[in-house]
Amino acid sequence: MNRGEQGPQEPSDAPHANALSSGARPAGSHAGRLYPENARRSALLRIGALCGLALSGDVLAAVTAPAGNGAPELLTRDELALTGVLAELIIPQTDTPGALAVGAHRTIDHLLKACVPKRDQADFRAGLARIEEAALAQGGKRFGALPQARQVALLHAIDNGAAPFKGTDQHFFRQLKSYVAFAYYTSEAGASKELAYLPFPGGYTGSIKVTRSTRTWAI
Amino acid sequence: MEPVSSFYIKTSPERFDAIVVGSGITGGWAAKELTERGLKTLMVERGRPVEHGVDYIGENKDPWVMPNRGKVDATVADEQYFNQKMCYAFDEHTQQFFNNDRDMPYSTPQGRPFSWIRGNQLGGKSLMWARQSYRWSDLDFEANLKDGHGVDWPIRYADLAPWYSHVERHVGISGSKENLAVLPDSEFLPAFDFNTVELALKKKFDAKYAPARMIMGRTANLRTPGETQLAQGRGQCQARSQCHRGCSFGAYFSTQSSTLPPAVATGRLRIATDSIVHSVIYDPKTNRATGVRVIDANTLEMREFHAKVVVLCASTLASTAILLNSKSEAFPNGLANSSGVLGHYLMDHLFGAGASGRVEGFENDYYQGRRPTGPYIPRFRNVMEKHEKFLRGYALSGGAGREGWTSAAWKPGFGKDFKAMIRKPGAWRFGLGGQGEMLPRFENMVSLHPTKKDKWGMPQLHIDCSYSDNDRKMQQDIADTAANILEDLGLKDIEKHIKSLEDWPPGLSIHEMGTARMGRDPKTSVLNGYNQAHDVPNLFVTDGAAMASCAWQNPSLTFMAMTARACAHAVDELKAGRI
Repeated sequence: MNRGEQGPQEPSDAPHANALSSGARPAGSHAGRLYPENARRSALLRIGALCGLALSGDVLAAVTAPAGNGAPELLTRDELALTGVLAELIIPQTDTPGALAVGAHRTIDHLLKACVPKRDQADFRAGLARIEEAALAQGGKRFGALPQARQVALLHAIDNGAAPFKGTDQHFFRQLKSYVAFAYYTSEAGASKELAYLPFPGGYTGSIKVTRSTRTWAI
Repeated sequence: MEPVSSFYIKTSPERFDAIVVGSGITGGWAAKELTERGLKTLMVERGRPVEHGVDYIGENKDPWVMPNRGKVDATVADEQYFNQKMCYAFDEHTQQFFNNDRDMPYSTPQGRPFSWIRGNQLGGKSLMWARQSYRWSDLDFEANLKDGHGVDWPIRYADLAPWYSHVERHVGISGSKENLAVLPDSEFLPAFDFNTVELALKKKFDAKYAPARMIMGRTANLRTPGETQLAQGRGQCQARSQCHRGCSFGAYFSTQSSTLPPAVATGRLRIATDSIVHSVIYDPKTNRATGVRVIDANTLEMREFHAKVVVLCASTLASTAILLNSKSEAFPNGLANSSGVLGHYLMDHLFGAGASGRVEGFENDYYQGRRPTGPYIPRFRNVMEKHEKFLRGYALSGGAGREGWTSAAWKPGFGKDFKAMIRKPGAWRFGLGGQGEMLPRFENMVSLHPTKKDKWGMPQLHIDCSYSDNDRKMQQDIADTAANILEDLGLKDIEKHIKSLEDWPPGLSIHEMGTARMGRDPKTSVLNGYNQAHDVPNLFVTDGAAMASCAWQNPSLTFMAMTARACAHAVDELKAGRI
């Protein structure tokens, strides 16, 4: 199984036979409800728009169904989509790809399932739920459906441990950021396009000067 | 040279001159020394063959091609590698070189864990070792005599010095000549470079703390290979810092890269892999070891190999386990154990304490490459002045680097600014961690479990080892002193750390030593000054089991020197007809 997949490498016309609702559905809808393909697609386009992204077909595929039947390994589809939105807010597309384009949320889902203890899995999902809860309480919508300014304001609150969030929520967000950073900077684009990746340095040089083009070493 | 694979055997009717049990750092050296001195030698290895380069399957793999980006599957780790997973070098790229704990169980008393880190394959732990290479000095060889803990070493630095040189010239040790009393210089290849911040801190440290000094860590990585290493087919270190995956450049010393090829080239080496040594065969009529009994790892079939000399290089605890399991009427408590100390005086180094902090300035300085070593401060405690709280001493090692994405993720912020911040090299940090000497104590011991067996029917080893008051006081001093040094060097936001026993149980330092110690008196030691069993003259143990104390330096270089010396002695004795 290709568990280290890159979103953009996947075909944009991957079958979505079992696709469930995305995180961008209207508030009050029921979990597990099947959405028609075009509705799901337009919902995703809205996520992209909210994230400031012009989503290509490749990125859409990364968000929805990159592996096998497209089902997440641990998270629900809603949780996966929320993770994707949060990941892109944390590491957005700039002059290099953002977290969504490298499928960071898929990588996180896989690593949570494969490499993270059950207790930490539960903490992660509880953290996502707290964000949804705060979004509904404050904006009347799920997080993914809020305008980006509201999303950013909520993330600032959780990042600072400010109301309605607490220290545990703040810790979750730092943990989430470390997962996103791991998934992004260990991806090919994150390591070699955003940062400097040198698999064979050829030796150690103790002193080089930082220039305007110097980037952090990926490893 | 013929490929090594043509030298593998399963059975042999012939009587070898020597059998070497184990193929790691000491087994490789024993094979090289014995075959080059003319002995037809069999190397017995319980694990599978590993071919240089070919079987380094984790090497050169980018993180994004690994199923878990280098992280280990938690279920597999919890169920099969519950001890090995604690090792810093254990990851998705290196898992194949670590023992399966489920298949190779051992027991410990309730509440006294021991992390036995093992690599059973051809090359053993020489494929995953940390490569730090230091000579010991008379400060170390005289320690037991002076403070009365443990027996006096039967050797002194002068006995080993030429053998250190002998192995260093072959291995290739990168380092700098320093003329320090506590740390004799090796035969060096060029040392790795300090970075700009380390160089600035070194200048401050050397001026303030003289005669203590900050030097570059001495390592068996070839920053610049010499003629000898190039002739072995080894190349320059690429500074990938992925040594534990195996290095097809042979840029670090391993059995595969450095000792096995010349041993094979003599035409006198045979290798039996997948052969678990059950016991050493002993003939009471001649009082000699006559060979080894082995269990086929796959078929459980029992076989025997015979030889004139037996050299145990199976690793500290495994060599002792073999001796304990080699029972006879003459030696009911284990072969060569007339003293009764076999299994006792187990040691490991103290780790898990230190301090780190932020270095201001130097924003325009960076480095390139991932250096396989770092700055090192040799022992300064209990050298000139006696410390009031504890005996013996420790070294500090560490390094300076700029923060990257791993630490940035735990700071405030997100979004474009966050991404832009990570793109630029972060703050400089410098840290120091200690490695201290643990006292030899009778109660730290290993024995064969009375009932529990492994899947090959071998008794499990029962390991009972804990830290003493002296060890804990030293650990505290390591953290306090490291923090004080950082403060003196002008660092900010200094944080001390001390790991608890749960986080760093004995064994985890992977410097386990003792349990078949050397000594002058056969009544209180198992081996003489040539690693030769007092009781059985053609039986040698040349791995970490032989150590009478553990010093503060990494032990592998000393294991190599001792092994070469012991094997030369064995050949001389054999040729003279004395063993």
